[in-house]
Amino acid sequence: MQAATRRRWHPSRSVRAHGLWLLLIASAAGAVQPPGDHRNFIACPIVQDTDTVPCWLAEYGGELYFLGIQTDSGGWSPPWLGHRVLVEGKLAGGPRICGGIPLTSDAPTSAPPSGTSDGRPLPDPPTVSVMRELDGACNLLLPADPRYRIVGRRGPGPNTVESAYRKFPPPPAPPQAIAPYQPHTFTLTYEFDSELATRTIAEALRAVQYAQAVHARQLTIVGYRAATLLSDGTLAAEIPAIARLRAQELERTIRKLGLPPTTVLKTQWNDDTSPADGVTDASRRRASLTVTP
Amino acid sequence: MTPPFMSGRVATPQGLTAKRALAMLACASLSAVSLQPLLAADATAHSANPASYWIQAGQGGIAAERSRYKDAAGQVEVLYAHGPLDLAGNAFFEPLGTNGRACVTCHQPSSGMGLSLATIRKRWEDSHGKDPLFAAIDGSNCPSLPQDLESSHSLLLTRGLFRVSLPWPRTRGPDGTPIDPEFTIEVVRDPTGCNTDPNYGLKSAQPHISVYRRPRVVANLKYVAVDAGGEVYGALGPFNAKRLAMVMDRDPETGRFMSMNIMSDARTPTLEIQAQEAARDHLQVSAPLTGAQLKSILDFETQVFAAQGTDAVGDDFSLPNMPPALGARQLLESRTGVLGDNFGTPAFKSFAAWEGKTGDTARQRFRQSVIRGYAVFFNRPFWIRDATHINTAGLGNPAKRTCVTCHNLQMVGTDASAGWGDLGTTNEPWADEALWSPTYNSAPQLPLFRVVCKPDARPHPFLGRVIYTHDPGRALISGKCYDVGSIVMGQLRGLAARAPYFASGSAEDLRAVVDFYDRRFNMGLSEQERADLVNFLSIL
Repeated sequence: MQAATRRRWHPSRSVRAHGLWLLLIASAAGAVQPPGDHRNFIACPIVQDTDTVPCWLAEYGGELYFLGIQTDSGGWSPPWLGHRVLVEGKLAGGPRICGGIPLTSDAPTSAPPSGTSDGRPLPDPPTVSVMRELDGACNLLLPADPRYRIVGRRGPGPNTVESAYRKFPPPPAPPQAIAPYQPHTFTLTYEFDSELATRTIAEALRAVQYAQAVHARQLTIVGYRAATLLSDGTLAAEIPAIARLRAQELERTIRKLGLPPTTVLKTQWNDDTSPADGVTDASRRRASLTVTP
Repeated sequence: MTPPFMSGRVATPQGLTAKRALAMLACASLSAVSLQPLLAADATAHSANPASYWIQAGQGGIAAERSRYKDAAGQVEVLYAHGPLDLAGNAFFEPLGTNGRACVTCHQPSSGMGLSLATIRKRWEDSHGKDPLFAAIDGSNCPSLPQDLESSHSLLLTRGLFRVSLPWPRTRGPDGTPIDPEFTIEVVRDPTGCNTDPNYGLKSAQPHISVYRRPRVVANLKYVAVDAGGEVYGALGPFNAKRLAMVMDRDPETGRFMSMNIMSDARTPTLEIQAQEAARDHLQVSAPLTGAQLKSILDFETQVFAAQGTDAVGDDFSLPNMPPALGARQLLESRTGVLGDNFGTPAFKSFAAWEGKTGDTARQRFRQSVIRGYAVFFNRPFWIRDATHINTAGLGNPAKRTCVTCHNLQMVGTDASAGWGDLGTTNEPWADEALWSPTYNSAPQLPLFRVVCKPDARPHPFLGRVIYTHDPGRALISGKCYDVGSIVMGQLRGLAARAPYFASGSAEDLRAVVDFYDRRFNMGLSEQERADLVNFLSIL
């Protein structure tokens, strides 16, 4: 069912517009969209200050959506003024927060809520990606509004209870190396148009640890480029070079982490042309590390 | 009624203008005040007195375990943890190269193990410009200039800046990793002539870029030159806490990942590598340092601590019941790796010892001002905006936070993670020598470069693909566009002894530092808050 609503794309059909690669598929424009409770769009972020930490909002289709609050460097990464943001989320339900309809993620985390609004826990934020290029139009910072009662786990001042960095969980251990050794693939996901795996880089460390443990014959890096189905039915494709940039950045990371001298490192990149569905597209912005014993 | 210590420019020594400060310091303030006898001022060219304002390479002598030197706010204190120090034969103090310099030449105890502009100028006058400090290689604007002219050393004599010559384009990182720079560099303005020089410039046979930077502090290094483990980095393993996708550089000897906070561009992960590079580039040694020389330098560097020892109103921080972060001995005895961006473990511990004592004496007013300044530093939120490696490190842009968000390592106020960021101290439009600044009324001193990012590169997050800068900073090492103008922050101890500030020497005094932040981040500091911040910073 879901596959039928997906839209295939091909890099040759993309054009550069407003700093973003938009896919032109004239035959079906507007006919295929993400599920009705999803909101995928590109817009300027808006900062709504409060008496405590600021809220992050974005406007789409004449409606204001709540994305999240300022947290800490180990938590959700809010957008940047000066850049547009790709929002991939779904309606979270519940009352408005900071004036916006709350959005959440399709892939909820186990992390505790970043705070409360009127005493209610905040939802997991949606997936947000900061666009690479500057956009001077994105510059709206609204002053603190006393109606919005936000309490963040981390306020605007120093931390209260624990070291910020202690919130980072230790990287999960690599798979157990038990003979006969098996090939294993590790996957890193990315923000849109980004070659920096800021949230999943620990997978690279796990891959290297596994390669060392099994005296790997080969480690293959494959970087992928993908596209996102927006709520207006258009496709937003990543920049053409991003698959290569992901693979090459990861190659540098792997080399710095250190491979066994006998392990052959192969680096490849591809476009992922599988259908975009507006739900799972973020998971296809990825790179894979396959360790072959 | 005038609030206590309201007027930072007039009432506090930190607020003196550069000219006034220089005049004052040159006349009176560079003498040594030691806890041991015989340590009177001695400013002769070849003093044998290790407590003099100037320690000459190879002079020998015994340095007291603890010495104090007058500075702009009282006295800076230098402590040798292993007791009195025999300078003779100690490689840090010996002229190891061909130009007569030692490490101590640019890291003087009287400047809190950095080097103040006042000290540089006094040295110029006392030596008639002949001291090895002014060596052509980096103590002048360019080696090709006539070295006997004062104007050829203008950046050192007016802003305390040494020439740092780096190969460009860079093809390999410090660990040998291949680098393909993401940007090109064009010289827009070259007042020193070195970047367009046929022998030293970007188009010479061995292309180099010349940037001009302040020397960093060689003290309190147990907080700075550390590996990326322990309380701060443990959970993150080898990754930069601020940029989780970046692997830290390794110590080639031990294989351990390092915190990368030693140099202003983080190009040397360890003190060993830094010493070898400094010996080659600044001392002009003809061969790498021997193992014994390295050991001697490192043994010294890892046991020297520096901080303000007394303040402007005569408080002696070594006395009982003083705030526990003050004075050099506290730096020796405190734990390292403690995050100070936390109410439980505040950056400069507690000032409760000075609280609750009201009155109208100068000392009480000063202490209350310091406490208020600490509160501003620690608690007063403002919008941190468009600062690469701060706003991009997961906080969002802008972020409503405080000074201690970045100056977060307890006791020294550096960043616990690899602490480079672009605050605008070298990039336009914030750097002081802005092209179109209406307040800019003197001839440009620093080179200006036009950096253009290649099409596939991730651009600078807040300046885009074309950047004008006096110093690309970390980007000259990483080759990354998003690193252009990023500088590793320096520690906040012994500040009053080593003006001017920022890597570019653009802030002539602590008031100028505070004013820069106020302007850069639109903090809206009141005059009282500015004076309080200056007083607080002056006693660290």
